[in-house]
Amino acid sequence: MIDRRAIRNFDFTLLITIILIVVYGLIILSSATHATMTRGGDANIYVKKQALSFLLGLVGIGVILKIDYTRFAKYAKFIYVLNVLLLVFVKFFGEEQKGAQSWISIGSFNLQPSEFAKIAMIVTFAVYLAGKEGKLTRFRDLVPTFVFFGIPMLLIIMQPDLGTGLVFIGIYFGMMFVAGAKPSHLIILILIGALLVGGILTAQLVFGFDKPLKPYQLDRLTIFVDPYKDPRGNGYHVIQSMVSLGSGGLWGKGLYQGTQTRLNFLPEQKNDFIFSVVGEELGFAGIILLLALFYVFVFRGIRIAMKSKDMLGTLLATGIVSMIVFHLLVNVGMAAGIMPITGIPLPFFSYGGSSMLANMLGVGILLDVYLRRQVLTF
Amino acid sequence: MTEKVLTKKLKVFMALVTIIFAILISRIAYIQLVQTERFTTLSEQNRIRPVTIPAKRGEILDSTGKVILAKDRPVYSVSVSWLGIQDQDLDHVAASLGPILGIDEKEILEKIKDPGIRKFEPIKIAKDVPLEVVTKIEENRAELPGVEIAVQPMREYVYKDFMPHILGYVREITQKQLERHKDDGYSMGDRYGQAGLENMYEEFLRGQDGNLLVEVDKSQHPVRELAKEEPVPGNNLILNIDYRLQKAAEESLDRVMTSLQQGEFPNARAGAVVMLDVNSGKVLAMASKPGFDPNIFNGKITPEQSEALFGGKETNPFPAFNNRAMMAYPPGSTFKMITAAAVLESGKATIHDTFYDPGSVYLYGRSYGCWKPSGHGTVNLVKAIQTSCNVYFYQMGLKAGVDNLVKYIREFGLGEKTGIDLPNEASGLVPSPEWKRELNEPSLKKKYEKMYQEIEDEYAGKIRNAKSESEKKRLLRQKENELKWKKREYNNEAYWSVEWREYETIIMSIGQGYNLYTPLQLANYVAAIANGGIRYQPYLVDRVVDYQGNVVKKFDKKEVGKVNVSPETLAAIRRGMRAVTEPGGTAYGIFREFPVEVAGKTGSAQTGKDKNGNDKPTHGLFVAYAPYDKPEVAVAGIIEYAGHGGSSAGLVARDLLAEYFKIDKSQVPQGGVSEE
Repeated sequence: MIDRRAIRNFDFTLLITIILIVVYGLIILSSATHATMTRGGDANIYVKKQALSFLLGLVGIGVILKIDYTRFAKYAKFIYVLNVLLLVFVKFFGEEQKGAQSWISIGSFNLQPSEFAKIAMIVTFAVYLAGKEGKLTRFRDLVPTFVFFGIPMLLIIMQPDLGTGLVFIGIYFGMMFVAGAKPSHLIILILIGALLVGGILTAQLVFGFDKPLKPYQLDRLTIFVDPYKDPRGNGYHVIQSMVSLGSGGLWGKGLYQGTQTRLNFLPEQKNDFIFSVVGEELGFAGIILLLALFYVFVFRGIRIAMKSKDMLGTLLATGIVSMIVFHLLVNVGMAAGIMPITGIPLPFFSYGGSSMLANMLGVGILLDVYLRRQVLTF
Repeated sequence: MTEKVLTKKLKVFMALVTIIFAILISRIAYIQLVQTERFTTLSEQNRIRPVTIPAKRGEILDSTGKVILAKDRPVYSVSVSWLGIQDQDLDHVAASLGPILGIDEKEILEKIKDPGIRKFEPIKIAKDVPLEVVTKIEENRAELPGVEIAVQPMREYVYKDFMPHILGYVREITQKQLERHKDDGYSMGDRYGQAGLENMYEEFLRGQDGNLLVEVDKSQHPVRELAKEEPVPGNNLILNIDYRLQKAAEESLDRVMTSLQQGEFPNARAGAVVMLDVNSGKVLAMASKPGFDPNIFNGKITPEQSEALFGGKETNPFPAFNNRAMMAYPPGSTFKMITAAAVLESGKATIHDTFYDPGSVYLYGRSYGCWKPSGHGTVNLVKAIQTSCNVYFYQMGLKAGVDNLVKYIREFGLGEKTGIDLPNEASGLVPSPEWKRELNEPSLKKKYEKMYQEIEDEYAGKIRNAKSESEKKRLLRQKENELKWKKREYNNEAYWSVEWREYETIIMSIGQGYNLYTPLQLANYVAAIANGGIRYQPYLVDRVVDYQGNVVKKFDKKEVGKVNVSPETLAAIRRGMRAVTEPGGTAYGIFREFPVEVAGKTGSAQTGKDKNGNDKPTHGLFVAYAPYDKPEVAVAGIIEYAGHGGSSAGLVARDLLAEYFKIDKSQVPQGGVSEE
């Protein structure tokens, strides 16, 4: 089945970039989990699990490559309904972790549907928008997309998982822009959104309403503006993250040598704040390497969007790239103190099987779109 | 949508992504490259905790360098390390530890339950734990996880109430001292010398605390030691005081005071004695009674201890804290050598001039008695000193005049601080016409100014209401008269209370009146007489030695002046003092058969009347030097309310001299009576 043309049409650069990113991530994860695992147990358990997820992801890529992405259209409705049902299920029957009800337990295996919801949403929305080509010129044409996109997104925000919600918004705008919605309409949408957020914040901060956000949620979301207001409470995460980054300097303190990491001053170091571990131990140089790898990834992704044979492929690629970029923006922005603390993972770095698998599926879709950019005769 | 439009859109998309990357990179560059220092400091503060290792304070040793008088004793304290007990059953640890230490287990539980923020520091459970308990803890190690035994220095005064006034004591630094010495590296809770040599030589004794930098994790558990700066022990002081001599002085004072109390002087409860090397000013012994045990300052002072130390006139007239060797007392007859020097040096009399003492003398309208009612007959200088003849000295003092007396008091350094290396030395008091005038004139003048004003005011009113010019004139005259009378009254009063009177010169000549000098000054004055007129600054510390034995600072004898008195006069005075211990001398009864030739002088200083109007017993004073022909040491002593100087302080001086010259006790007669 692997013929010459298939090899020629395979984006090795993207795959190698992803492998480099994951290996980089595993090294950092081993440092981030080193300190916490000193007292008994397998010191490398997290690294091993993460590597396993990666291998599983490679298998997933293989499976996707066997499927022609154009056939997604057939299953789109089924995927959409299944996605919404899963999100409803998790809302009512899921397990709560870190304040968000976003987990499904199957035996000893925990699944986070919201991670897969992103991929499901990209696929179904791409199918939906591909059919609307040239029919998004009026503002009211956008209304059905709100409903289509809004239902799963609201379910996620209600978990509550604001970080993933933010990523959804990123995906929406990225795909809508490429799908042909007028930029002016999108800007109006952004303005409306900004007014809405501004209105809610004003109502809650200035006038003291306690809805829709609970006071502690509000504090967490706004603390990044002035973390020293509560340095031992809500501000602690941001401060320690910035201390880790800043004390890393240009070259870092050395792998496994980060005091903030090693001595646990940096919270959530294997999950949400793994980026700060890179910054502390490998310095600005390590950060540049990380962002450069992601930039290559994004560049290849957009290139795939351009080279796609049809609108569906372009939208799929755009959606995946938007997802990764918004994950980066929200996660890195949070670590650097310019984004609210919403707790979403850094793709391919943060520890978590669901996230790794979902991201690998995304990579599979990208590769699939590229692989099938010409009509092949199998 | 054409291919072209799509490509354009995707290029815009790429541009937007690039902007997002640029924003993130510039923000991170700002944190990592611009604010590196700030965040590095914060990260170091997160993980590094400094712990002080107290330095061992220097020791104080006697002149032989063998007898340790004050030292730091390592004291065991039992602590619990939070790191060691966090996973343990706290109740079990407390239940095991309680009985061993003899502390209620509830108390222990309370202490270890909440370590607060400083979890890296051990939680102190018990202090100054005896070695047996430490051994017991070591034996039961398995039952006591996290229990640590730490060693901490505590000041120990080895011989307890031995020379406490000189050694002083150490206690936690006060807020005031902390402010004054904030540049010297002191911090709250540090020890600081509060009195005596501990205070005077604080900078040498304290040493330099060490530091331990501990790395802690987020829960403040110690992870490892980062750096250790060993403490540098403080320097040791080697004194001029010989333990053997000092011990003789203290024991003799106690013994003599006890026997006086059992006899007719129940209030002979305080005293002091000083021995100096006449050729250097070295303090060989300095004792003051009552004493106290400076070890009590390691703990809380009870009200009873405070009473004994600081007392109060009503409840405890003999507070133990005072160093009586440096307190001012009337010198009594020990002053008479000054009068002799003054009259001889001013050329108002010669050594051979004599007076006839019939038992009293009539001077300036009053009779002044000699202490011996039958009188001493014809006396010259030597005999006058030997017999302490008041009649002779009254008249010699008058001849010399008060100005000459004052001059020679100052020549010998009386009435001014000697400059000994101890804090809180009294300067004493030299009476003089100027002193008396300054003391009394202002208040007297004020009193009379007020009375003058009253007269003025009274007449001002009267004159205003006068009916005729002639009445006014009459009143004016009357006023002038009254003022004149008042002024005359003032002059009368000032004659006695402001002007120096001859009787004051007379009583001053025998060491009574307003004279106030310290035993230390008296010893130094006798030393100057003995060594031919050189005044040395008395000093206690011979050298400062570091913990490895290297001499850090050596103190040498320091000449502060030469007494302007001719060798002939000094020789005559010495001859007189020698005669004091010879047959016919006032202290012959004490120094009879003493194998070394001693020159001395007795003194009994009047102390006023008690509340019933009876004379209180005199303070007994005695000064001496020996050997007579080749002087080595000078002694001055006092016992309060002890009667005659020879039979009180004289006995102490004799014991001290006997110890100094290593005279076998059997050769020295016990007891002994002096005549004055």
